[in-house]
Amino acid sequence: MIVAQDLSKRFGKVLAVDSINFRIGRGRVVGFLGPNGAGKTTTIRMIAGFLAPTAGGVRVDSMEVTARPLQVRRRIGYLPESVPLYTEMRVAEYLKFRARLFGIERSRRRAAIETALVRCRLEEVRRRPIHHLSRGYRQRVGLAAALLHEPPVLILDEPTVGLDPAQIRQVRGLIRELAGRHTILLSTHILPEAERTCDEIIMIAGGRIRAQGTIEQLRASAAGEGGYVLETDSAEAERAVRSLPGVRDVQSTETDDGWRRLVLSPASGAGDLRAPIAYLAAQRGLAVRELKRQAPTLEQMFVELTAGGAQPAEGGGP
Amino acid sequence: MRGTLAIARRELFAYLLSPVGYLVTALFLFFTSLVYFAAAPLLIGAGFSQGQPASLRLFFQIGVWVLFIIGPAISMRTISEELRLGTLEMLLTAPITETQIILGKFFGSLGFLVLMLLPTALFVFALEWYGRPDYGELLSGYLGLLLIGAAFLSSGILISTLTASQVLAYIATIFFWLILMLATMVLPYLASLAEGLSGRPDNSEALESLLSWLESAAGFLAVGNPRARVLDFVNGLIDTFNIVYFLTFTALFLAAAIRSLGARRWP
Repeated sequence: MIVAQDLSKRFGKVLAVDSINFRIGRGRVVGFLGPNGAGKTTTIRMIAGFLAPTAGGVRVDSMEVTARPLQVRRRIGYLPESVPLYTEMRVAEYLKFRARLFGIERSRRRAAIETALVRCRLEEVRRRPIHHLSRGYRQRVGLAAALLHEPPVLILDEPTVGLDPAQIRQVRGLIRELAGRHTILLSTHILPEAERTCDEIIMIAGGRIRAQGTIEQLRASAAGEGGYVLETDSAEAERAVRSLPGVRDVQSTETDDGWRRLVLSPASGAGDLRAPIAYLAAQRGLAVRELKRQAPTLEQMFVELTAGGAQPAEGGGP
Repeated sequence: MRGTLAIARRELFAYLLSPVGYLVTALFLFFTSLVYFAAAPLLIGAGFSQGQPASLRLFFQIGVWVLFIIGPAISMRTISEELRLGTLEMLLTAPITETQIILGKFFGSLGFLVLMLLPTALFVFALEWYGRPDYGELLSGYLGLLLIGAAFLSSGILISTLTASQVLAYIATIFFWLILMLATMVLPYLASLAEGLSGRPDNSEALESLLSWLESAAGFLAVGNPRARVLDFVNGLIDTFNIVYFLTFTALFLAAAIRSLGARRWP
Protein backbone atom coordinates (compact mmCIF):
# COMPACT_ATOMS: atom_id res chain seq x y z
CA MET A 1 0.00 0.00 0.00
CA ILE A 2 2.81 2.40 0.92
CA VAL A 3 6.25 1.91 -0.57
CA ALA A 4 9.15 4.24 0.19
CA GLN A 5 12.21 3.99 -1.99
CA ASP A 6 15.49 5.67 -1.08
CA LEU A 7 13.42 8.42 0.45
CA SER A 8 15.55 11.36 1.61
CA LYS A 9 14.95 14.85 2.89
CA ARG A 10 17.54 17.48 3.49
CA PHE A 11 16.92 20.77 5.30
CA GLY A 12 19.89 22.94 4.46
CA LYS A 13 22.88 21.09 5.87
CA VAL A 14 20.87 18.63 7.92
CA LEU A 15 19.92 15.32 6.39
CA ALA A 16 16.69 14.68 8.26
CA VAL A 17 15.76 11.49 6.41
CA ASP A 18 18.54 9.42 4.89
CA SER A 19 17.44 7.14 2.02
CA ILE A 20 14.78 5.17 3.83
CA ASN A 21 13.20 2.07 2.30
CA PHE A 22 10.10 0.34 3.57
CA ARG A 23 6.95 -1.33 2.39
CA ILE A 24 3.64 -1.35 4.23
CA GLY A 25 1.08 -3.96 3.29
CA ARG A 26 -2.62 -3.34 2.84
CA GLY A 27 -4.63 -3.39 6.05
CA ARG A 28 -1.60 -3.40 8.36
CA VAL A 29 -1.14 -1.20 11.39
CA VAL A 30 2.45 -0.05 11.31
CA GLY A 31 4.23 2.02 13.92
CA PHE A 32 7.02 4.44 13.20
CA LEU A 33 9.01 4.22 16.40
CA GLY A 34 11.87 6.51 17.22
CA PRO A 35 13.12 9.19 19.58
CA ASN A 36 12.19 12.81 19.05
CA GLY A 37 14.09 14.25 16.12
CA ALA A 38 14.49 10.87 14.43
CA GLY A 39 12.85 11.97 11.19
CA LYS A 40 9.41 10.45 11.80
CA THR A 41 7.42 13.59 11.17
CA THR A 42 9.46 14.51 8.12
CA THR A 43 8.90 11.07 6.61
CA ILE A 44 5.19 11.21 7.37
CA ARG A 45 4.92 14.66 5.84
CA MET A 46 6.53 13.39 2.66
CA ILE A 47 4.02 10.54 2.45
CA ALA A 48 1.12 12.91 3.08
CA GLY A 49 2.43 15.24 0.37
CA PHE A 50 3.10 18.21 2.65
CA LEU A 51 6.84 18.11 1.96
CA ALA A 52 8.52 17.18 -1.29
CA PRO A 53 11.34 14.63 -0.96
CA THR A 54 14.90 15.75 -1.75
CA ALA A 55 15.57 12.37 -3.34
CA GLY A 56 13.79 9.07 -3.76
CA GLY A 57 10.04 8.72 -3.64
CA VAL A 58 6.93 7.30 -2.04
CA ARG A 59 4.18 5.37 -3.74
CA VAL A 60 0.74 5.03 -2.23
CA ASP A 61 -1.51 2.48 -3.89
CA SER A 62 1.14 2.25 -6.69
CA MET A 63 0.94 5.99 -7.36
CA GLU A 64 3.93 8.28 -6.94
CA VAL A 65 3.08 11.02 -4.42
CA THR A 66 4.79 13.82 -6.35
CA ALA A 67 3.55 12.70 -9.76
CA ARG A 68 -0.17 12.37 -8.95
CA PRO A 69 -0.53 14.41 -5.78
CA LEU A 70 -4.29 14.89 -5.80
CA GLN A 71 -5.15 11.22 -6.36
CA VAL A 72 -2.74 10.19 -3.62
CA ARG A 73 -4.02 12.78 -1.16
CA ARG A 74 -7.58 11.64 -1.78
CA ARG A 75 -6.52 8.19 -0.54
CA ILE A 76 -4.89 9.45 2.63
CA GLY A 77 -6.42 10.61 5.88
CA TYR A 78 -3.75 12.57 7.71
CA LEU A 79 -3.67 13.82 11.27
CA PRO A 80 -0.62 16.00 12.02
CA GLU A 81 0.89 15.89 15.49
CA SER A 82 -0.22 19.41 16.47
CA VAL A 83 -3.85 18.64 15.40
CA PRO A 84 -4.36 21.92 13.58
CA LEU A 85 -8.03 22.91 13.50
CA TYR A 86 -9.99 26.09 12.82
CA THR A 87 -10.88 26.62 16.44
CA GLU A 88 -13.53 29.26 15.85
CA MET A 89 -15.68 26.71 13.97
CA ARG A 90 -18.10 24.27 15.51
CA VAL A 91 -17.28 20.57 15.28
CA ALA A 92 -19.95 19.70 12.70
CA GLU A 93 -19.22 22.88 10.74
CA TYR A 94 -15.55 22.00 10.53
CA LEU A 95 -16.34 18.50 9.32
CA LYS A 96 -18.67 19.97 6.71
CA PHE A 97 -15.87 22.20 5.48
CA ARG A 98 -13.52 19.22 5.27
CA ALA A 99 -16.15 17.21 3.41
CA ARG A 100 -16.45 19.99 0.83
CA LEU A 101 -12.68 20.25 0.57
CA PHE A 102 -12.41 16.53 -0.15
CA GLY A 103 -15.12 16.75 -2.77
CA ILE A 104 -17.66 14.56 -0.98
CA GLU A 105 -20.90 15.04 -2.84
CA ARG A 106 -23.69 16.93 -1.18
CA SER A 107 -25.94 13.85 -1.08
CA ARG A 108 -23.38 11.79 0.85
CA ARG A 109 -22.01 14.63 2.95
CA ARG A 110 -24.45 14.40 5.84
CA ALA A 111 -24.09 10.63 6.13
CA ALA A 112 -20.30 10.85 6.02
CA ILE A 113 -20.27 13.46 8.78
CA GLU A 114 -22.68 11.43 10.93
CA THR A 115 -20.57 8.30 10.51
CA ALA A 116 -17.39 10.13 11.46
CA LEU A 117 -19.07 11.73 14.48
CA VAL A 118 -20.31 8.36 15.71
CA ARG A 119 -17.05 6.54 15.05
CA CYS A 120 -15.06 9.10 17.00
CA ARG A 121 -17.77 9.49 19.68
CA LEU A 122 -18.28 13.16 19.07
CA GLU A 123 -22.09 13.28 18.84
CA GLU A 124 -22.55 15.17 22.08
CA VAL A 125 -20.09 17.95 21.19
CA ARG A 126 -21.08 18.41 17.55
CA ARG A 127 -22.40 21.93 18.13
CA ARG A 128 -19.57 23.09 20.35
CA PRO A 129 -16.96 25.53 19.05
CA ILE A 130 -13.67 23.68 18.79
CA HIS A 131 -11.81 26.14 21.04
CA HIS A 132 -14.07 25.04 23.91
CA LEU A 133 -12.97 21.41 23.58
CA SER A 134 -10.32 19.59 25.58
CA ARG A 135 -7.17 18.25 23.97
CA GLY A 136 -8.64 14.74 23.88
CA TYR A 137 -11.76 15.87 22.08
CA ARG A 138 -9.74 17.92 19.61
CA GLN A 139 -7.68 14.84 18.85
CA ARG A 140 -10.90 13.00 18.04
CA VAL A 141 -12.16 15.88 15.89
CA GLY A 142 -8.89 15.69 13.96
CA LEU A 143 -9.31 11.96 13.61
CA ALA A 144 -12.92 12.34 12.46
CA ALA A 145 -11.76 14.87 9.85
CA ALA A 146 -9.12 12.42 8.65
CA LEU A 147 -11.68 9.60 8.38
CA LEU A 148 -14.39 11.60 6.69
CA HIS A 149 -13.63 10.63 3.11
CA GLU A 150 -13.08 6.94 4.02
CA PRO A 151 -9.45 6.92 2.95
CA PRO A 152 -7.78 3.54 2.51
CA VAL A 153 -4.69 4.91 4.28
CA LEU A 154 -4.63 6.66 7.64
CA ILE A 155 -1.51 8.49 8.76
CA LEU A 156 -1.42 9.59 12.38
CA ASP A 157 1.53 11.55 13.72
CA GLU A 158 1.93 10.94 17.47
CA PRO A 159 -1.81 10.44 17.98
CA THR A 160 -1.64 10.07 21.76
CA VAL A 161 0.88 12.72 22.65
CA GLY A 162 -0.37 15.20 25.25
CA LEU A 163 -3.38 13.11 26.28
CA ASP A 164 -4.19 11.84 29.76
CA PRO A 165 -4.18 8.07 30.37
CA ALA A 166 -7.94 7.67 29.92
CA GLN A 167 -7.85 9.59 26.65
CA ILE A 168 -4.85 7.58 25.49
CA ARG A 169 -6.82 4.39 26.07
CA GLN A 170 -9.77 5.79 24.11
CA VAL A 171 -7.65 6.84 21.14
CA ARG A 172 -5.82 3.49 21.14
CA GLY A 173 -9.14 1.67 21.17
CA LEU A 174 -10.31 3.81 18.31
CA ILE A 175 -7.20 3.01 16.28
CA ARG A 176 -7.67 -0.72 16.91
CA GLU A 177 -11.27 -0.43 15.75
CA LEU A 178 -10.18 1.29 12.56
CA ALA A 179 -7.46 -1.25 11.91
CA GLY A 180 -9.53 -3.65 9.84
CA ARG A 181 -10.73 -1.05 7.39
CA HIS A 182 -7.67 1.09 6.82
CA THR A 183 -3.96 0.72 6.38
CA ILE A 184 -2.64 2.71 9.32
CA LEU A 185 0.75 4.30 9.74
CA LEU A 186 1.24 5.93 13.11
CA SER A 187 4.30 7.43 14.70
CA THR A 188 5.25 7.34 18.33
CA HIS A 189 8.27 7.70 20.54
CA ILE A 190 6.81 5.38 23.18
CA LEU A 191 7.61 1.70 22.74
CA PRO A 192 4.71 0.18 24.72
CA GLU A 193 2.36 2.25 22.63
CA ALA A 194 3.76 0.73 19.45
CA GLU A 195 3.74 -2.78 20.98
CA ARG A 196 0.10 -2.40 21.98
CA THR A 197 -1.37 -0.93 18.81
CA CYS A 198 0.81 -2.05 15.91
CA ASP A 199 1.27 -5.22 13.88
CA GLU A 200 4.64 -4.09 12.62
CA ILE A 201 7.24 -1.63 13.80
CA ILE A 202 9.73 0.43 11.87
CA MET A 203 12.40 1.74 14.23
CA ILE A 204 13.92 4.93 13.02
CA ALA A 205 16.68 7.10 14.47
CA GLY A 206 18.95 9.73 13.03
CA GLY A 207 16.98 9.68 9.80
CA ARG A 208 17.70 6.00 9.14
CA ILE A 209 15.76 2.81 9.68
CA ARG A 210 17.40 0.79 12.45
CA ALA A 211 15.10 -2.21 12.46
CA GLN A 212 11.78 -3.26 11.04
CA GLY A 213 9.44 -6.22 11.23
CA THR A 214 6.59 -7.64 13.23
CA ILE A 215 6.85 -7.41 16.99
CA GLU A 216 7.62 -11.15 17.20
CA GLN A 217 10.37 -10.84 14.61
CA LEU A 218 11.91 -7.93 16.41
CA ARG A 219 11.74 -9.76 19.74
CA ALA A 220 13.42 -12.79 18.17
CA SER A 221 16.22 -10.74 16.68
CA ALA A 222 16.61 -8.86 19.94
CA ALA A 223 17.06 -12.17 21.81
CA GLY A 224 20.12 -12.97 19.71
CA GLU A 225 21.75 -9.86 21.03
CA GLY A 226 21.15 -10.64 24.68
CA GLY A 227 23.64 -10.37 27.49
CA TYR A 228 25.05 -12.74 30.10
CA VAL A 229 25.22 -12.38 33.83
CA LEU A 230 28.00 -14.02 35.79
CA GLU A 231 28.50 -13.82 39.55
CA THR A 232 31.81 -14.98 40.93
CA ASP A 233 33.94 -14.44 44.02
CA SER A 234 37.09 -13.27 42.25
CA ALA A 235 38.13 -9.79 41.20
CA GLU A 236 40.32 -11.48 38.56
CA ALA A 237 37.24 -12.75 36.73
CA GLU A 238 36.65 -9.58 34.78
CA ARG A 239 40.02 -9.69 33.01
CA ALA A 240 39.66 -13.39 32.30
CA VAL A 241 36.20 -13.05 30.81
CA ARG A 242 37.22 -10.09 28.70
CA SER A 243 39.75 -12.28 26.89
CA LEU A 244 37.03 -14.70 25.78
CA PRO A 245 36.39 -14.58 22.04
CA GLY A 246 32.92 -13.23 21.28
CA VAL A 247 32.73 -10.92 24.28
CA ARG A 248 32.36 -7.31 23.28
CA ASP A 249 32.10 -5.61 26.61
CA VAL A 250 32.02 -6.43 30.31
CA GLN A 251 30.57 -4.40 33.10
CA SER A 252 31.59 -5.27 36.61
CA THR A 253 29.91 -4.30 39.86
CA GLU A 254 30.43 -5.43 43.42
CA THR A 255 27.43 -6.88 45.19
CA ASP A 256 26.57 -6.04 48.79
CA ASP A 257 28.05 -9.29 50.04
CA GLY A 258 31.40 -8.81 48.30
CA TRP A 259 30.86 -10.89 45.14
CA ARG A 260 31.49 -9.63 41.61
CA ARG A 261 28.56 -9.31 39.27
CA LEU A 262 29.67 -9.24 35.63
CA VAL A 263 27.35 -8.33 32.78
CA LEU A 264 28.74 -9.44 29.41
CA SER A 265 27.64 -8.02 26.10
CA PRO A 266 28.36 -10.40 23.24
CA ALA A 267 29.66 -9.34 19.86
CA SER A 268 27.07 -9.83 17.18
CA GLY A 269 26.95 -13.38 15.84
CA ALA A 270 28.87 -14.77 18.79
CA GLY A 271 26.40 -17.58 19.39
CA ASP A 272 25.61 -19.00 22.81
CA LEU A 273 28.42 -18.02 25.17
CA ARG A 274 27.18 -19.85 28.28
CA ALA A 275 29.35 -22.96 27.77
CA PRO A 276 32.60 -21.06 27.02
CA ILE A 277 32.02 -18.94 30.11
CA ALA A 278 31.44 -22.02 32.24
CA TYR A 279 34.61 -23.72 30.90
CA LEU A 280 36.63 -20.61 31.55
CA ALA A 281 35.35 -20.37 35.10
CA ALA A 282 36.21 -24.04 35.71
CA GLN A 283 39.72 -23.59 34.24
CA ARG A 284 40.52 -20.56 36.36
CA GLY A 285 38.96 -22.10 39.45
CA LEU A 286 36.41 -19.34 39.88
CA ALA A 287 33.55 -19.96 42.25
CA VAL A 288 30.35 -19.29 40.28
CA ARG A 289 27.03 -18.75 42.00
CA GLU A 290 25.10 -17.56 38.98
CA LEU A 291 25.43 -17.80 35.22
CA LYS A 292 22.50 -16.92 33.00
CA ARG A 293 21.57 -15.55 29.65
CA GLN A 294 19.47 -12.39 29.74
CA ALA A 295 16.72 -12.26 27.16
CA PRO A 296 16.69 -8.61 26.30
CA THR A 297 13.42 -6.74 26.03
CA LEU A 298 12.38 -4.77 23.02
CA GLU A 299 12.91 -1.79 25.29
CA GLN A 300 16.65 -2.48 25.54
CA MET A 301 16.85 -3.02 21.83
CA PHE A 302 15.05 0.25 21.20
CA VAL A 303 17.35 2.13 23.55
CA GLU A 304 20.44 0.52 22.06
CA LEU A 305 19.41 0.98 18.44
CA THR A 306 18.45 4.55 18.86
CA ALA A 307 21.15 5.68 21.27
CA GLY A 308 23.90 7.69 19.68
CA GLY A 309 22.24 7.64 16.30
CA ALA A 310 19.84 10.43 17.08
CA GLN A 311 20.57 13.84 15.73
CA PRO A 312 18.50 16.94 16.23
CA ALA A 313 17.10 16.92 12.73
CA GLU A 314 13.34 16.97 12.96
CA GLY A 315 12.45 20.07 14.90
CA GLY A 316 8.91 21.31 14.89
CA GLY A 317 8.97 21.92 11.18
CA PRO A 318 7.73 25.09 9.56
CA MET B 1 -13.75 24.58 -8.48
CA ARG B 2 -15.40 22.85 -5.54
CA GLY B 3 -12.26 23.21 -3.46
CA THR B 4 -12.00 26.91 -4.34
CA LEU B 5 -15.60 27.43 -3.30
CA ALA B 6 -15.13 25.55 -0.02
CA ILE B 7 -12.16 27.73 0.90
CA ALA B 8 -13.78 30.98 -0.24
CA ARG B 9 -16.85 30.20 1.81
CA ARG B 10 -14.86 29.38 4.93
CA GLU B 11 -12.75 32.49 4.48
CA LEU B 12 -15.82 34.70 4.21
CA PHE B 13 -17.40 33.16 7.30
CA ALA B 14 -14.15 33.55 9.21
CA TYR B 15 -14.36 37.32 8.60
CA LEU B 16 -18.00 37.39 9.57
CA LEU B 17 -17.33 35.44 12.76
CA SER B 18 -14.37 37.52 13.84
CA PRO B 19 -14.53 40.87 15.60
CA VAL B 20 -11.83 42.11 13.23
CA GLY B 21 -14.26 41.81 10.32
CA TYR B 22 -16.80 44.05 11.99
CA LEU B 23 -14.18 46.47 13.22
CA VAL B 24 -12.80 46.86 9.70
CA THR B 25 -16.26 47.40 8.23
CA ALA B 26 -17.16 49.90 10.93
CA LEU B 27 -13.93 51.84 10.37
CA PHE B 28 -14.49 51.94 6.63
CA LEU B 29 -18.06 53.19 6.92
CA PHE B 30 -17.24 55.61 9.71
CA PHE B 31 -14.38 57.35 7.95
CA THR B 32 -15.92 57.51 4.52
CA SER B 33 -19.27 58.80 5.76
CA LEU B 34 -17.63 61.17 8.22
CA VAL B 35 -15.74 62.84 5.41
CA TYR B 36 -18.52 62.66 2.85
CA PHE B 37 -21.45 63.77 5.01
CA ALA B 38 -19.85 65.93 7.68
CA ALA B 39 -16.26 67.07 7.33
CA ALA B 40 -16.20 67.99 3.65
CA PRO B 41 -19.56 69.80 3.57
CA LEU B 42 -18.70 71.79 6.71
CA LEU B 43 -15.10 72.61 5.92
CA ILE B 44 -14.84 73.02 2.16
CA GLY B 45 -18.45 72.93 1.02
CA ALA B 46 -17.87 69.75 -0.98
CA GLY B 47 -19.34 66.25 -0.69
CA PHE B 48 -22.92 65.86 0.46
CA SER B 49 -24.08 69.47 0.64
CA GLN B 50 -26.47 71.88 -0.97
CA GLY B 51 -25.55 73.16 -4.43
CA GLN B 52 -23.06 70.35 -5.02
CA PRO B 53 -23.47 67.84 -7.88
CA ALA B 54 -25.29 64.68 -6.81
CA SER B 55 -22.23 62.47 -7.03
CA LEU B 56 -20.17 60.19 -4.81
CA ARG B 57 -16.83 61.32 -6.22
CA LEU B 58 -15.58 62.50 -2.88
CA PHE B 59 -16.65 59.26 -1.23
CA PHE B 60 -14.78 57.25 -3.88
CA GLN B 61 -11.67 59.40 -3.47
CA ILE B 62 -11.71 58.89 0.29
CA GLY B 63 -12.69 55.25 -0.18
CA VAL B 64 -9.50 54.51 -2.13
CA TRP B 65 -7.38 55.77 0.75
CA VAL B 66 -9.40 53.97 3.39
CA LEU B 67 -9.17 50.79 1.31
CA PHE B 68 -5.43 51.29 1.15
CA ILE B 69 -5.37 51.17 4.96
CA ILE B 70 -8.01 48.45 5.37
CA GLY B 71 -7.41 46.13 2.38
CA PRO B 72 -4.10 44.85 3.77
CA ALA B 73 -5.86 44.30 7.12
CA ILE B 74 -8.31 41.99 5.36
CA SER B 75 -5.67 40.09 3.43
CA MET B 76 -3.06 39.85 6.20
CA ARG B 77 -4.69 36.87 7.88
CA THR B 78 -5.34 34.78 4.73
CA ILE B 79 -2.22 32.60 4.74
CA SER B 80 -0.33 34.00 7.74
CA GLU B 81 -3.04 32.75 10.10
CA GLU B 82 -2.90 29.27 8.54
CA LEU B 83 0.86 29.29 8.94
CA ARG B 84 0.63 30.32 12.58
CA LEU B 85 -2.04 27.76 13.49
CA GLY B 86 -0.42 25.01 11.40
CA THR B 87 -3.68 24.52 9.51
CA LEU B 88 -1.85 25.12 6.24
CA GLU B 89 -0.61 21.55 6.63
CA MET B 90 -4.23 20.39 6.48
CA LEU B 91 -4.89 22.44 3.34
CA LEU B 92 -1.70 21.36 1.57
CA THR B 93 -2.46 17.69 2.24
CA ALA B 94 -6.06 17.94 1.05
CA PRO B 95 -6.80 16.94 -2.55
CA ILE B 96 -6.77 20.51 -3.84
CA THR B 97 -4.16 22.49 -5.72
CA GLU B 98 -2.30 25.57 -4.50
CA THR B 99 -4.18 27.51 -7.17
CA GLN B 100 -7.49 26.50 -5.60
CA ILE B 101 -6.26 27.54 -2.16
CA ILE B 102 -5.09 30.98 -3.31
CA LEU B 103 -8.14 31.63 -5.48
CA GLY B 104 -10.41 30.54 -2.64
CA LYS B 105 -8.64 32.94 -0.28
CA PHE B 106 -8.85 35.71 -2.87
CA PHE B 107 -12.53 35.35 -3.65
CA GLY B 108 -13.37 34.91 0.01
CA SER B 109 -11.66 38.17 0.93
CA LEU B 110 -13.05 39.92 -2.14
CA GLY B 111 -16.51 38.76 -1.09
CA PHE B 112 -15.94 40.36 2.28
CA LEU B 113 -14.89 43.57 0.55
CA VAL B 114 -18.15 43.57 -1.40
CA LEU B 115 -20.13 43.03 1.81
CA MET B 116 -18.23 45.92 3.34
CA LEU B 117 -19.16 48.20 0.42
CA LEU B 118 -22.83 47.16 0.44
CA PRO B 119 -23.99 49.50 3.22
CA THR B 120 -22.71 52.45 1.17
CA ALA B 121 -25.72 51.84 -1.06
CA LEU B 122 -27.39 54.03 1.58
CA PHE B 123 -25.28 56.91 0.25
CA VAL B 124 -26.84 56.33 -3.15
CA PHE B 125 -30.33 56.38 -1.61
CA ALA B 126 -29.51 59.67 0.06
CA LEU B 127 -28.41 61.15 -3.27
CA GLU B 128 -31.53 59.87 -4.98
CA TRP B 129 -33.66 61.46 -2.25
CA TYR B 130 -32.20 64.94 -2.70
CA GLY B 131 -31.08 64.97 -6.31
CA ARG B 132 -30.62 63.08 -9.56
CA PRO B 133 -27.35 61.17 -9.45
CA ASP B 134 -25.65 59.87 -12.59
CA TYR B 135 -25.77 56.10 -12.15
CA GLY B 136 -23.14 55.50 -14.82
CA GLU B 137 -20.66 57.51 -12.83
CA LEU B 138 -21.62 55.72 -9.61
CA LEU B 139 -21.09 52.30 -11.19
CA SER B 140 -17.76 53.42 -12.58
CA GLY B 141 -16.68 54.57 -9.12
CA TYR B 142 -17.68 51.30 -7.49
CA LEU B 143 -15.89 49.36 -10.23
CA GLY B 144 -12.77 51.41 -9.50
CA LEU B 145 -12.96 50.65 -5.76
CA LEU B 146 -13.47 46.97 -6.47
CA LEU B 147 -10.54 46.79 -8.91
CA ILE B 148 -8.05 48.60 -6.72
CA GLY B 149 -9.39 46.60 -3.77
CA ALA B 150 -8.68 43.38 -5.67
CA ALA B 151 -5.14 44.56 -6.34
CA PHE B 152 -4.62 45.44 -2.65
CA LEU B 153 -5.99 42.06 -1.55
CA SER B 154 -3.99 39.97 -4.01
CA SER B 155 -0.75 41.71 -3.06
CA GLY B 156 -1.60 41.17 0.61
CA ILE B 157 -2.24 37.47 -0.01
CA LEU B 158 1.13 37.13 -1.73
CA ILE B 159 2.89 38.78 1.20
CA SER B 160 0.97 36.71 3.74
CA THR B 161 2.32 33.51 2.13
CA LEU B 162 5.75 34.69 3.22
CA THR B 163 5.26 35.17 6.95
CA ALA B 164 3.32 33.72 9.85
CA SER B 165 3.10 37.18 11.39
CA GLN B 166 -0.03 39.07 10.44
CA VAL B 167 1.43 42.37 11.61
CA LEU B 168 4.43 41.91 9.36
CA ALA B 169 2.17 40.98 6.43
CA TYR B 170 0.12 44.13 7.01
CA ILE B 171 3.07 46.49 7.25
CA ALA B 172 4.85 44.97 4.25
CA THR B 173 1.73 45.29 2.08
CA ILE B 174 1.22 48.94 3.07
CA PHE B 175 4.87 49.67 2.36
CA PHE B 176 4.75 48.02 -1.02
CA TRP B 177 1.95 50.30 -2.21
CA LEU B 178 3.44 53.37 -0.55
CA ILE B 179 6.70 52.79 -2.38
CA LEU B 180 4.89 52.19 -5.65
CA MET B 181 2.89 55.36 -5.27
CA LEU B 182 5.88 57.44 -4.19
CA ALA B 183 8.00 56.12 -7.05
CA THR B 184 5.29 56.87 -9.57
CA MET B 185 4.76 60.34 -8.11
CA VAL B 186 8.30 61.46 -7.34
CA LEU B 187 9.91 60.28 -10.57
CA PRO B 188 7.62 62.31 -12.84
CA TYR B 189 8.58 65.31 -10.71
CA LEU B 190 12.24 64.53 -11.36
CA ALA B 191 11.39 64.26 -15.02
CA SER B 192 10.00 67.78 -15.03
CA LEU B 193 13.30 68.92 -13.54
CA ALA B 194 15.11 67.02 -16.28
CA GLU B 195 12.99 68.77 -18.84
CA GLY B 196 14.15 72.07 -17.49
CA LEU B 197 17.78 70.98 -17.72
CA SER B 198 17.69 69.58 -21.24
CA GLY B 199 18.35 71.71 -24.30
CA ARG B 200 20.92 73.96 -22.64
CA PRO B 201 23.81 74.75 -25.03
CA ASP B 202 26.63 73.47 -22.80
CA ASN B 203 25.02 70.03 -22.19
CA SER B 204 27.14 67.11 -23.33
CA GLU B 205 25.59 64.48 -25.55
CA ALA B 206 25.75 61.90 -22.78
CA LEU B 207 23.89 64.13 -20.33
CA GLU B 208 21.33 64.94 -22.98
CA SER B 209 20.62 61.24 -23.64
CA LEU B 210 20.46 60.51 -19.90
CA LEU B 211 17.93 63.28 -19.45
CA SER B 212 15.75 62.08 -22.28
CA TRP B 213 15.90 58.52 -20.91
CA LEU B 214 14.88 59.82 -17.50
CA GLU B 215 11.97 61.65 -19.05
CA SER B 216 10.63 58.62 -20.87
CA ALA B 217 11.13 56.34 -17.85
CA ALA B 218 9.29 58.81 -15.66
CA GLY B 219 6.51 59.10 -18.22
CA PHE B 220 6.18 55.33 -18.17
CA LEU B 221 6.11 55.22 -14.39
CA ALA B 222 3.58 58.02 -14.16
CA VAL B 223 1.20 55.83 -16.14
CA GLY B 224 1.75 53.14 -13.51
CA ASN B 225 0.53 55.30 -10.63
CA PRO B 226 -2.36 53.35 -9.12
CA ARG B 227 -3.96 56.48 -7.74
CA ALA B 228 -4.04 58.13 -11.14
CA ARG B 229 -5.51 54.96 -12.64
CA VAL B 230 -8.29 54.74 -10.10
CA LEU B 231 -9.14 58.47 -10.32
CA ASP B 232 -10.36 57.94 -13.88
CA PHE B 233 -12.96 55.55 -12.52
CA VAL B 234 -13.90 58.02 -9.79
CA ASN B 235 -14.52 60.66 -12.43
CA GLY B 236 -16.77 58.29 -14.32
CA LEU B 237 -14.29 57.30 -16.99
CA ILE B 238 -14.09 53.55 -17.66
CA ASP B 239 -10.90 53.10 -19.64
CA THR B 240 -10.02 49.59 -20.80
CA PHE B 241 -6.39 50.33 -20.07
CA ASN B 242 -7.20 50.98 -16.43
CA ILE B 243 -9.17 47.75 -16.14
CA VAL B 244 -6.31 45.80 -17.70
CA TYR B 245 -3.87 47.61 -15.43
CA PHE B 246 -5.58 46.47 -12.21
CA LEU B 247 -6.45 43.00 -13.47
CA THR B 248 -2.84 42.46 -14.54
CA PHE B 249 -1.59 43.49 -11.11
CA THR B 250 -4.10 41.18 -9.45
CA ALA B 251 -3.30 38.23 -11.70
CA LEU B 252 0.46 38.66 -11.25
CA PHE B 253 0.16 38.82 -7.47
CA LEU B 254 -2.08 35.76 -7.36
CA ALA B 255 0.24 33.79 -9.65
CA ALA B 256 3.20 34.72 -7.47
CA ALA B 257 1.23 33.74 -4.35
CA ILE B 258 0.48 30.34 -5.87
CA ARG B 259 4.17 29.81 -6.60
CA SER B 260 5.16 31.00 -3.16
CA LEU B 261 2.70 28.63 -1.50
CA GLY B 262 3.94 25.72 -3.62
CA ALA B 263 7.50 26.54 -2.61
CA ARG B 264 6.55 25.79 1.01
CA ARG B 265 6.76 22.11 0.12
CA TRP B 266 10.47 22.61 -0.62
CA PRO B 267 12.04 24.06 2.51
